[in-house]
Amino acid sequence: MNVNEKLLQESFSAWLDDESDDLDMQRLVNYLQSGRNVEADLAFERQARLKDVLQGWGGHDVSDSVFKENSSRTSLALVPPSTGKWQVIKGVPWTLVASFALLVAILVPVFQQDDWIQDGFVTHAVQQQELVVETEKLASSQSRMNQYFQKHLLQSSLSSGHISLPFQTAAVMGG
Amino acid sequence: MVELQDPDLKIVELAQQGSAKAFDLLVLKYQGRIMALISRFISDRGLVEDVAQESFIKAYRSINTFKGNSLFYTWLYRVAVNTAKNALSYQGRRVPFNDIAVGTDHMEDYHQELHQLDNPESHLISEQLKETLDIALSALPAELQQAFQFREFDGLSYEQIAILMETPIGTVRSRIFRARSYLEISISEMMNT
Repeated sequence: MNVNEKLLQESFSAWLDDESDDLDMQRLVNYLQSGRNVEADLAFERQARLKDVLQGWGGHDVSDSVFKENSSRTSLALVPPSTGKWQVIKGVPWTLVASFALLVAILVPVFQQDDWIQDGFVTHAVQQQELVVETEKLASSQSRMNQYFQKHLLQSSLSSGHISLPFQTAAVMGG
Repeated sequence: MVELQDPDLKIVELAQQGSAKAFDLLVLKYQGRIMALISRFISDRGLVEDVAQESFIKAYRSINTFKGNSLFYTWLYRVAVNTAKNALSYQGRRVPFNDIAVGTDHMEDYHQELHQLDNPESHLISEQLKETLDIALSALPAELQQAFQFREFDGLSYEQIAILMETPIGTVRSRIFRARSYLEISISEMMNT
């Protein structure tokens, strides 16, 4: 163990005891910011374990499983809000992207149903056909009414003093 | 009012910046205490480890919610208590700890209680450990042995030990570290056999 290694481990020992000073913390920060240091890692683990055993806290170790779990997950809390990673996706505001995605999600299943279009056209065609029939009926009765009024006006002009409602006339004439 | 200086603050800041390695140091430091805390309420050893693991994972995932208004350990303690509560509730058991105070005095209490936790297996290990430690300690130079015992068994601060031993604090730090290095080798050898 070289001098730096020894000082680092001594700093860790002091930190375990909550007795570390600024220099200890600087050494630990440097260690954390540097690459992997297997010797220090193992020494820290052994020191921490010894302390746990001496304090009657048992020698069980969950650090490996926690480290693996944490390394495989990226905490959402660790994404700083100021980076704007969640606000803009390739220069497009996320609200627009979300709205478009929602619209697609709603409309795609509707359009995927073939009946939807067919039914629409059939309904429209039936309605149009019915409208034509109704119009023809209306035109026919209008034509018959016109003929009736013309005939009645002719009769009225021939029989003076006998101006009455056409239906009355028809009733009288019908007997 | 005296403001508490959190000894973990710089490590926590690195963990907040995404360093899993920094958080790993915090796990190493506190896992024993957290498991001991959970053991007070959950007797199943396997479940204690699961809850401890879950507590640390939760703590890592929400570490940015720690704002430094309390000591990091106090915050972690609360996370562990809540995780243990949830585990017990999930099992349909009554939660026995609604008002757990977090403080140094309380920590001392539970340290004492933990020493009283007893089962045949842990009793055997404790006996073996005690024997190994006694042998290893007696082989240490007197000044290392004394500094280590003041710290680990009497719970004195480095400053108090320095006054008692009439030496600078730096020497106390060094003696405790050297004693620890020596003992850890002895304990590791015992655990591997």
